[in-house]
Amino acid sequence: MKILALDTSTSRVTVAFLDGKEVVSQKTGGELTGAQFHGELLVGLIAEVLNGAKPDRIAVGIGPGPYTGLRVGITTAEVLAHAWGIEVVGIPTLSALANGHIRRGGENGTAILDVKRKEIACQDFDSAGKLQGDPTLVRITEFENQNYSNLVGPAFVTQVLISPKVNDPSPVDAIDIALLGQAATPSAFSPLYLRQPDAAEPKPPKSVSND
Amino acid sequence: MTEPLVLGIETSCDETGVGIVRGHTLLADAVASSVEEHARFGGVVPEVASRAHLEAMVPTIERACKDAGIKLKDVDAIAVTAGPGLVGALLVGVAAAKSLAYALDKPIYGVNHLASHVAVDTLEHGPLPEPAIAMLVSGGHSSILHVPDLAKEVISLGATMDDAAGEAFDKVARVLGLAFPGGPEIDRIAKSGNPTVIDFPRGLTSKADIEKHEFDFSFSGIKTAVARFVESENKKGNQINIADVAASFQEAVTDVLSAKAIAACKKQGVEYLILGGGVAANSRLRYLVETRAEKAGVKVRIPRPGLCTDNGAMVAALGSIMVSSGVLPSPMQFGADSSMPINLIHY
Repeated sequence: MKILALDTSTSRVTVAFLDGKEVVSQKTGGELTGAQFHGELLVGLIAEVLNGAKPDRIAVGIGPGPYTGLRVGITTAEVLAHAWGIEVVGIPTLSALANGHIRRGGENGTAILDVKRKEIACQDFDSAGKLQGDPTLVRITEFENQNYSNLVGPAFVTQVLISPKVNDPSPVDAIDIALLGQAATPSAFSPLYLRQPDAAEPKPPKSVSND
Repeated sequence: MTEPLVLGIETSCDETGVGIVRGHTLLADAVASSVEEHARFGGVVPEVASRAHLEAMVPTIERACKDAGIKLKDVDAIAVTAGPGLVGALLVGVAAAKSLAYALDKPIYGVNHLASHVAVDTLEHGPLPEPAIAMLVSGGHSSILHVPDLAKEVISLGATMDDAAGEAFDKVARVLGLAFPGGPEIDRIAKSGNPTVIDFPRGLTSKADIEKHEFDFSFSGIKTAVARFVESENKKGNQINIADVAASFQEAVTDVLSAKAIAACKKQGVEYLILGGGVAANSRLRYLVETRAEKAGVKVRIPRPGLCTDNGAMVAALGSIMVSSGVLPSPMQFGADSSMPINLIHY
């Protein structure tokens, strides 16, 4: 199966094109830290890795991660799949991190991703790279006081704070999204937002009188 | 040559719009609105809108193609709102449009939302008479534009200094205990009210203001004036006649809007006035503009209310004008621009 894989859960965009297990082409864009340019970069990178080829399936990382960038990746994957009439599968990005770590010979541990607002998304995985339970949000202050045996994940923006604790700081790799995407059964998916939108119902209008 | 088949995508605020046009002919206008999800917050919540755009995007594209009776591969060009608007919302549309353009190998036009509001009129009334004056009034914008050539040159004559007109309608509706969005509610209830009971301020209409802000607007003062009136009446223990307050407020806003739009036509020596944006659906504004225009010898074109509010057809309409005018497509690297200026009609 020819598969196009992409992930925009972090500030770096990663795209790969695989034919079976063979990596045909792979590209990354953007920086590990700083502003995001997913909307500007993504389709150009896809065009580069595909180089005129058409995939049989698309796999996309569904986060968790900063919402706006995440939506650029998922929208792109869904619309491309619709236009080409092919399948699209959503892969939890923490599971891609776990898969990469196991591929590099690692053991079971905890995958992490920066989800901004001084919080980190954490999820344990077993020695086969399979995620356990649900992802949880941990405040950075709390995170510092926890003892994790094997932390895996990029943690770009909070690097200063947590990098000494991270055992395998490899960034998200679209190759892992592709490998998991080839094995996945297509079904409906949504981004892993993990939080409700910030919105409060309005209070009664404030007084405008001077007295 | 047959006229171009253009698919347009709009996601600048809370409507996910996908429209399809051939030349000036409207073939499909599919809109999924998240307005009901915002109602309890009293205004559009950007994150709620962005989430809804993602969910609605592919189904709305499918519906538009089905309504138009076309296949995606038949499309000659893709157009998308690049700005101005909510950046997270815009980016969903931009990503979708780029994906279509790439997958179908078609040119893409990243266009200005305000110019699209002008372009939509061609779907109802045919080619645009140029030059024209356009007044665009919605929950996010209140602008008067001089349009010598919609594909290539649009000049801003004035805009709101604070709240947009539609925003003032929403805020006043809240003060009066009416539902969101406030525009249709105030329009409805004002019909049974007396517009001359309360003399609410007409912002930026004094002689000194006109010198500096001839075609600019300010609607923040009137919103406070209504709140102050309601509070002081409450304090006095007086029963408030909501219909009279709504009618008086609406009169003040639409009086200023219509007067400045006609004044702009006269000053520029332009014969045609085009209205657009959600507030252009307001019945009192339509009436005042049409009566005053007739006296001034100005011809008015107002699209039907369904085309005045945000939709994908207006974006497709502008894309179609660009293709026909030989405007070069946008480079694939363009992004969403929340404050895209009107002199930038496309990327």
